[in-house]
Amino acid sequence: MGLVSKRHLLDGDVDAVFDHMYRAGWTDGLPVIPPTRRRVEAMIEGLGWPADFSIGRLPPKYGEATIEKLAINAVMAGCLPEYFPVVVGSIQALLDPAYNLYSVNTTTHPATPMLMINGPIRHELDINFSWGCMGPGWRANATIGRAVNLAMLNIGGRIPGVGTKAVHAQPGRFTWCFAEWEEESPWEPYHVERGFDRNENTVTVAAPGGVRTMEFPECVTGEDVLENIAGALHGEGGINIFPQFGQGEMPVIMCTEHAKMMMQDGFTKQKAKEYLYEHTRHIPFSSFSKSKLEAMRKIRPDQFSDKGVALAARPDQFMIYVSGGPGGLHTRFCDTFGDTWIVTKRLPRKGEPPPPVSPAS
Amino acid sequence: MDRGRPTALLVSQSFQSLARMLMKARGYPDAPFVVIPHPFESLPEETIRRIAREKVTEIIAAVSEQPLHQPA
Repeated sequence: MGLVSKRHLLDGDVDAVFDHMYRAGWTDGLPVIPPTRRRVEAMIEGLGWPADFSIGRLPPKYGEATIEKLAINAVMAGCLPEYFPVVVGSIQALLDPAYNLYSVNTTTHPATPMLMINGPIRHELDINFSWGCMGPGWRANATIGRAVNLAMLNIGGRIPGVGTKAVHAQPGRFTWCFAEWEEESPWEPYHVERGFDRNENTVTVAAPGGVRTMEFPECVTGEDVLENIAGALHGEGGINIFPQFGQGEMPVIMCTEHAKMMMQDGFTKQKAKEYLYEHTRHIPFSSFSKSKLEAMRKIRPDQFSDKGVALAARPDQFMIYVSGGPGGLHTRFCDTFGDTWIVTKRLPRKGEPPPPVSPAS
Repeated sequence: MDRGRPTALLVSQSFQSLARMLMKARGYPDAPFVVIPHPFESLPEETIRRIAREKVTEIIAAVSEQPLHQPA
């Protein structure tokens, strides 16, 4: 296999090797697996595309995301070769112009790739969608997300303070990957909503600044839950309405029980989105300072009424995704970066050829 | 710049390192910058006009290919 990356011959035990890699600036600060030739070749075999095939260039350094370079980062992150198609597919999705990777990587905002996986591959790779799916404990979740973030550092130059101006960044920049509990969701899976077949494997990428919890154990009906979510989102107005940007999508990650309560109340996903839109249309003027109100009114006059300011311009700016373990009634809400749109892409499969033309950067 | 036209690059103080990385990626590692204060977007118009008046000589120098500011 013709690999072109520079080889570094390192002496010493694992501590010394990691120390060298850390000092070279190749890591996220956590230990990594040394990307030896044998490991990188095995990773490339996990998809079977040519090592020199480029998915595109990652901003802001605009390094070529070749299969070889992505495989090196996937090895370092601890991926198994069978995870590699998900890593490559995630990079493809992040390079969709609608996602606006340049801004996500460089902004002062903590916006970070959040990867959401649908399809049978969730079971094949054991990608967690239940208890603790956004947290530690699952190799696929932990290392796929980490591989993508290491690629942003090593290929894209997302170096804190240099290539990214994120004021605080966030823990999701280590890794953020989970799946949908399609079997327990009362609605069609997210990728089916986006026009894919249920048996297709997809990755969906968003760019949240963070994620907060909305727990409503007192609620007994679906509408009850939605009313409280909408109420809580009034407080999000100040941070989600970016007058200088477009209008991004807001991921609402619902536990299966909340989703089922809504379905029992007759809420389809679409109806739930419409409810959230209708009930966040009049955030009181008192939630904002005078200068912010003036700035918002200039850029988004259509979102002003005599009763207040609308959080969203359309119902489909709310994305609904069903994940998380049973037993506690929690829904998560992700604030948005504004100038980014959610992208869903079919994942490549091992053995199928790469796209005919390398996408222009 | 890609079209061969004289260009002045205005960069706010905090974004110099990012701008340098970008220009290097675009093939202009030595492009001269005119550095303006940061943050910029929230300044009142009056202040922005004052900054423009202060920087106009440097901007003219940049487009005239006589950079006063060399990259660090």
